[in-house]
Amino acid sequence: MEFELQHRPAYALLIAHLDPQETVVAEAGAMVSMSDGITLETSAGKKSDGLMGSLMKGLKRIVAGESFFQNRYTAKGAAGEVTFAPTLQGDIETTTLQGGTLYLQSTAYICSGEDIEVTAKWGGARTFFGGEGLVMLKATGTGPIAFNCFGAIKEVEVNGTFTVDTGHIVAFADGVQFRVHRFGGAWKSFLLGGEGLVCTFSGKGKVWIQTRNPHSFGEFLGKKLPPRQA
Amino acid sequence: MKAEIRNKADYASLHVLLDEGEQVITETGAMMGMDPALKMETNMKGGLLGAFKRAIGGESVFLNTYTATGPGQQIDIAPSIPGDMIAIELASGSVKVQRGSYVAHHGDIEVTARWGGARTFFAGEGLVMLEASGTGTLWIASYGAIHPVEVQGAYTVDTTHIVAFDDSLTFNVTKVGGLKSLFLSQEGLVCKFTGTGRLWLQTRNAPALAAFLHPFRRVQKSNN
Amino acid sequence: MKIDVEARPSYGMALVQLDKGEAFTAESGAMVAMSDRLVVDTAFNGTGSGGFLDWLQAAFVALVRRFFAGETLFVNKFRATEDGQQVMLAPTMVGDVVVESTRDSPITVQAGSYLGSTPKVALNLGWGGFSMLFSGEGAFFLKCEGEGDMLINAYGAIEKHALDGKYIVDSGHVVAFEGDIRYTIRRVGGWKSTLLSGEGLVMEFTGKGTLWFQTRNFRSLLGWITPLLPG
Repeated sequence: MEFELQHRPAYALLIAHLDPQETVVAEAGAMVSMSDGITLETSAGKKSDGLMGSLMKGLKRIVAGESFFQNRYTAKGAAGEVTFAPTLQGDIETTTLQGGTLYLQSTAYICSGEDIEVTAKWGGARTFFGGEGLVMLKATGTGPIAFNCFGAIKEVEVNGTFTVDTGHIVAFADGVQFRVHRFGGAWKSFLLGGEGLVCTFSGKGKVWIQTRNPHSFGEFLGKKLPPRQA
Repeated sequence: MKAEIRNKADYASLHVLLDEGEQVITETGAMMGMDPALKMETNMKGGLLGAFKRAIGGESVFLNTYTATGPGQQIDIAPSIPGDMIAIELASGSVKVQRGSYVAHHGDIEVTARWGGARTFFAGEGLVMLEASGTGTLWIASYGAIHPVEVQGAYTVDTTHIVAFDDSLTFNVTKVGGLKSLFLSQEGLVCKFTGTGRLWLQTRNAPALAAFLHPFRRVQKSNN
Repeated sequence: MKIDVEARPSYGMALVQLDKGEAFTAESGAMVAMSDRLVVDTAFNGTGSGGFLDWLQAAFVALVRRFFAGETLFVNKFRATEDGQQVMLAPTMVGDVVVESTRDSPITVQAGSYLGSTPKVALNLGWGGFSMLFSGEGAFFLKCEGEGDMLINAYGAIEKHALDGKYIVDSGHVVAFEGDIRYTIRRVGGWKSTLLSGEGLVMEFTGKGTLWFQTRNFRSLLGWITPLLPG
């Protein structure tokens, strides 16, 4: 299986090239197109324990501790392709896990190989985003994984400390420690959109950030739209 | 006439330089900048019936025609949606275009609304597409980047990602997977294209953005 | 000080590098990431830089802007305590970011398009007129002048037009204009066109210098997405 990216960085598209009998696992609702002979199966995750995922519209809130729905696309007879895109404008990045761990913001997950497990069931899942309804997912295993961002993606090699507004975090890998905190002081919270939470990374490892903040964008435009029924 | 698309695929804009007597026709509200000497007329293209047909297609009822009154007059045109724009040269044959994607045309082109058939074609977008035929240049816009596909055999697409396709292709709208898949997979309706021809997709879809923004709207207070 | 902009024109972000003692002012909410030991001061985004009356006027002006332009009330001033400190700044809206110098001539920018500036750039609020307000676009302009640089953001890509004579720009696409350029607000075409053309009010610019405009506008974005909203 090969992941190919096109139309970077503004409205990136992921093309998963599948050999016969290969399967790609993807977030529900991400498929744009597929070639002839691809079948679709919806499941609650590879190691399902029977819990229903709670997928709400909008920010796709996933409550920590629950599994979520993933679609499995398989090339039955011949080789084929499936293309995927995220909800918001922006870029997509791919990486290959070889037994390591990748932490992903919940709306950033697009698709992965069969031998990758993605879960919201880990201790730090809810610490990053306050009331915004986002959690950090934990991906482990072997194989390719693709994640999207809102805006452009920027890879930062942390070597020391690096402080970033939590709404701009896309993903981070092993090797960094994180500390989520308020910026401190009543006035200083005006620095940031959203909750005013920042995360200080320390150690040595990769952090991916995005140049736009989905929550601030939603609030900014939401105010200009006609009001809704309760 | 000289036409250039800039800022592809991010927020594509169209810049046209017209010589005396030359014209470009655009959807209303698309003008970004223009030479004050250009003559602008607002018309119901194709008479009243044409206007009615276009209204059903979701495009505005009226089109703007810009005519140059001298040499080298410039007009800058912008679509209403964030994303890409391409030029399609029409000679023989026709293309179907998703409503909302038409931006402008130059030359002898007829743009009319067409019913898509009994099934809802574009999920949430209603039954209608536009059909463009004739000779000239057609400019269409997308939400996201435009991803072209050369169909040879069969290809399946989520209906909210279709921008345009050659009339030589046949299409069939279905649900993807089984009924459980439809409800849980969030894929909605798909369109299977068969035959040989060009298909233009967009890499983002509008209903997903609307669903994303919906929770951020102010809540309407009820009157007592 | 070094100012770079990445990810143009789709989702521009500015990287401002400061040496000890240097400072940069930015709209509140713009900070993406920063060096730990940068000092941050918060101030009102108005006019003037000293005295109680100045402060009062600044507060009043900022309040008015808040109601009419939807602008944030505050700006943040970042000051470096060591060499090589950095702050990354980005606007809320998707689109382009550019750096422009105000040394040769002032730049008048639509209030929503101001992202940040160096300390010697003076910001003076201007009112674009009631017709601008009723056309649905921001009615406030910020005239920026002095020995420094500023960051401008937009919805869409930023296009620069070299004006020499007259040019018409749809008011929703105007971002900024240079120096002595003047404008009038008018209708395009006749009365029939005003009602039907979708163009509403336009700005006709006269003079010589640079015009900055954006390749998308809010009116169309909202018009496009609103029919697709549930409930």
